[in-house]
Amino acid sequence: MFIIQTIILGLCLGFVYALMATGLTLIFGVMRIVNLAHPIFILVGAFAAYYLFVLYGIDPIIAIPLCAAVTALLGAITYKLVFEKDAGAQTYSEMTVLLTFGTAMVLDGTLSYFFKNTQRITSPPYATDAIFLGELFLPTAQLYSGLISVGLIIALGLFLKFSKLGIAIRATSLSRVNAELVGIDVKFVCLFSFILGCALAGAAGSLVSFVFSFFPAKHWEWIAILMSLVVLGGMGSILGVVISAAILTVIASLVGAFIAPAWSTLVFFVALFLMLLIKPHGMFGKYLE
Amino acid sequence: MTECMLKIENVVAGYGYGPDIIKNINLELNKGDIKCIIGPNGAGKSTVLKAIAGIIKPRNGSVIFNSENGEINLSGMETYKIMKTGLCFIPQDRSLFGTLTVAENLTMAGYTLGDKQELKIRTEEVLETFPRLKERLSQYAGTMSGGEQQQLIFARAIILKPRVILIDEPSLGLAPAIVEQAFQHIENIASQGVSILLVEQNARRGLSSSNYGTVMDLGEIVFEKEANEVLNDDRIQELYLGKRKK
Amino acid sequence: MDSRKSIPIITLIILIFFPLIQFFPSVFGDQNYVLHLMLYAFYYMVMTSSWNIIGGYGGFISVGHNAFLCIGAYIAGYYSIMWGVSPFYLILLAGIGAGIFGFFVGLITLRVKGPSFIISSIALIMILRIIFDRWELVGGASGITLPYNSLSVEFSKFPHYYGFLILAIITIYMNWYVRHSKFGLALRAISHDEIRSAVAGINVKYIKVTAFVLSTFFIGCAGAIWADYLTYVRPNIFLIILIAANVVLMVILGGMGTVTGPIVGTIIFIAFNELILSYLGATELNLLFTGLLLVVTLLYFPNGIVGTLKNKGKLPRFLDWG
Repeated sequence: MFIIQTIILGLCLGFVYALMATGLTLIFGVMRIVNLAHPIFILVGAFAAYYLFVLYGIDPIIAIPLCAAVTALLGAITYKLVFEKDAGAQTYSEMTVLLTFGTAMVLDGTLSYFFKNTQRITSPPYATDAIFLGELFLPTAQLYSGLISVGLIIALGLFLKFSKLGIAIRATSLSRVNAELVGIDVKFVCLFSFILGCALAGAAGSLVSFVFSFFPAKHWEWIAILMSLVVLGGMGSILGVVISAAILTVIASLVGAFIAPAWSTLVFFVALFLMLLIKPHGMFGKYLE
Repeated sequence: MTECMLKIENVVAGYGYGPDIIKNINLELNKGDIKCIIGPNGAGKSTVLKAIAGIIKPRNGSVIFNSENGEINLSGMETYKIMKTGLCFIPQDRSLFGTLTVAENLTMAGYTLGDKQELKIRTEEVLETFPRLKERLSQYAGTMSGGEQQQLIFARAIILKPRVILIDEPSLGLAPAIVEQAFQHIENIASQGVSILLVEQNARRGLSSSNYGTVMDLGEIVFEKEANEVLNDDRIQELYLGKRKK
Repeated sequence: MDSRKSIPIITLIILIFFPLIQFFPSVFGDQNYVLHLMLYAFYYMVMTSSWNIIGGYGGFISVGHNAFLCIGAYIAGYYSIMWGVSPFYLILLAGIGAGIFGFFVGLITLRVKGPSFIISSIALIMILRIIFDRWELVGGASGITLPYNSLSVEFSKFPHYYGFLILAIITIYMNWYVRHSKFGLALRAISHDEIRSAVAGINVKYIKVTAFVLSTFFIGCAGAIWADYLTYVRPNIFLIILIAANVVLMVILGGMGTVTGPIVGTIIFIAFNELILSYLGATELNLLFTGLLLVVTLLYFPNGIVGTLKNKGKLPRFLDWG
């Protein structure tokens, strides 16, 4: 029973991680940018949700669109300032990754300065509540965030599959050259995808704000976890991210429950190294043109 | 009365911040023409096509295209916008969405067509012209043979019923039999009223399917003639083989 | 003697004799803080020059190279307590330990380039952080505490000063050697195109791993000296991303893939940092400024100072070591 509970909760958490990583994989798929600043955007969303709750009593789940808007705006500004220059590049470059790294540090420093490194967590009533399903004890924080994450991911999937812009986004991530030849405004698609990715980060941040206790420096931990998920799931593949997130988080939760909580995050990094050991080229290989 | 479809005047272009690769390019393409640009390596032939298609922006001059909505100066426009005016570009590396199926590639080709019905009709028409593709609708484009990919590329090109098609080295990397097919398709397309400007390394083959030939060297146009007279011109020998030693 | 030789030699002589002013406090005052700054600079020069070997020449950007600093520090610290000797005697051991660790890490992570490699370097820091925070043998989160050296205060920094200076000179020389050797040529070829390098007959794996091990060895040695300087070895001091970020920034600022780039970058960054510190104090804004500097440098001076000057042909001779 306890195992089933752990698995269910692990799954819920996995979906939250998946949502966190979706923006990342989207941005890479379209622009070949490994956005190391993505987790700090998630944190910005989390801080926004926290203060919206503490100052105005807005429930973090309701606040999702607001947080998404905040990070989307921030994303647009960052894009204009930092990445637009590189948006013309068709292939990945180390320098761009370092740019995102620098951006992450700038945002981390700013957040740390204004909010200090104290741990926070948003506490709407359901954050400490739980549902009893027979013998299963399911905290509502994880449950709700997991379900909403799934919902958002599905919405994203539908958008990408059926809307005109969604198709343009997928075409651009397949082949930028071809997309342009077919009449797609690739520059706009890049801008839009970046902002969408950041909005997703903000939405995830809102959920995260009542699931994890967070502080500005936490994004380094998330970078490693999310990047592991994206690498393992296949860069640019949302389905891949969801699957790898689900599997790894369940394993991590089991490790945390049965071995020691502190070792659970180790699962992600070990998986990353194992993947590098076994199949290093499969992940990024096919996207490096 | 021949209608001028594409008029290139005094175009100068180069890559990045580098030197001018093509200078003083003046070229006209009339309705129904198949014009073949030939010349030695490094002459700038592909550069001309890229400058028209907006892949590189001309540094000087104008590219006047006779579209459905009147004359447009393509110079300075973004490629994706140019592709929507009724001009189509087939680059050297044969762009296809390799990981999409034939059907999906054709759908993508008609991306800018708002009308789904229209797209369906045109796709049917195109598949009539290329029956092999009809058999392979759900096959991934990247897994098809060179010849089949060539057909898909042409199919994509004509779906939007362009007025002008630019083709960069159609024979590149293809087996001789497939090269034949490719030029066959080019002639078929032209017979339906599409004007074609192509660049071809294989001068003889290219010219034999064209009605005009333009010879380039060192970034400039040396001369233009009816296709079947180009190879007989004395200047050709000098261009390809160097000055005659007396 | 041209300026290329004379300026470094003169600088070296000054650096060697500089600490001796501590013997004359009545004339010069207590310059302990300046000594600190200088040895801090040498310490970072060791790290930047080492990083440059695999990062600048090899093209493998590691944002977690201080993982090896940590390993070296822990080895020196642990055995120093165990055997009752000063960490200075354990420098080589620390370096070798870090090198061996680097060997195995390199075998795995050097198989991938670009983003995967960068991510693996971050993941390495995370893994070590988790492990060391919980490893009771080496003190867990509180780490290892080392005794102060027995020298009086004015002279207590001397061993570290000279230790780092010597190490810096060796590392810079190593940098120079790699740059001008066949090994270095192969390494740089690999950074451009691994497949073509292999086809040209280069043993790609051997060269990559050797370069990596070289860089980790020297950083490990630095770790030993730094551990003694700080007198404690703790995960939350050695395993923070900021150190790695600083190293990367310094090298890029100075000029990746050059010999003098890391040196110039280190000096400029530390000076810049001191300026910020004196105006704003040590705050979280450090991270902000480092990040800002990194972004601006990458956008407008991707070749660094030395690189940009070189491209314009305006590099002063004494900085032109390759």
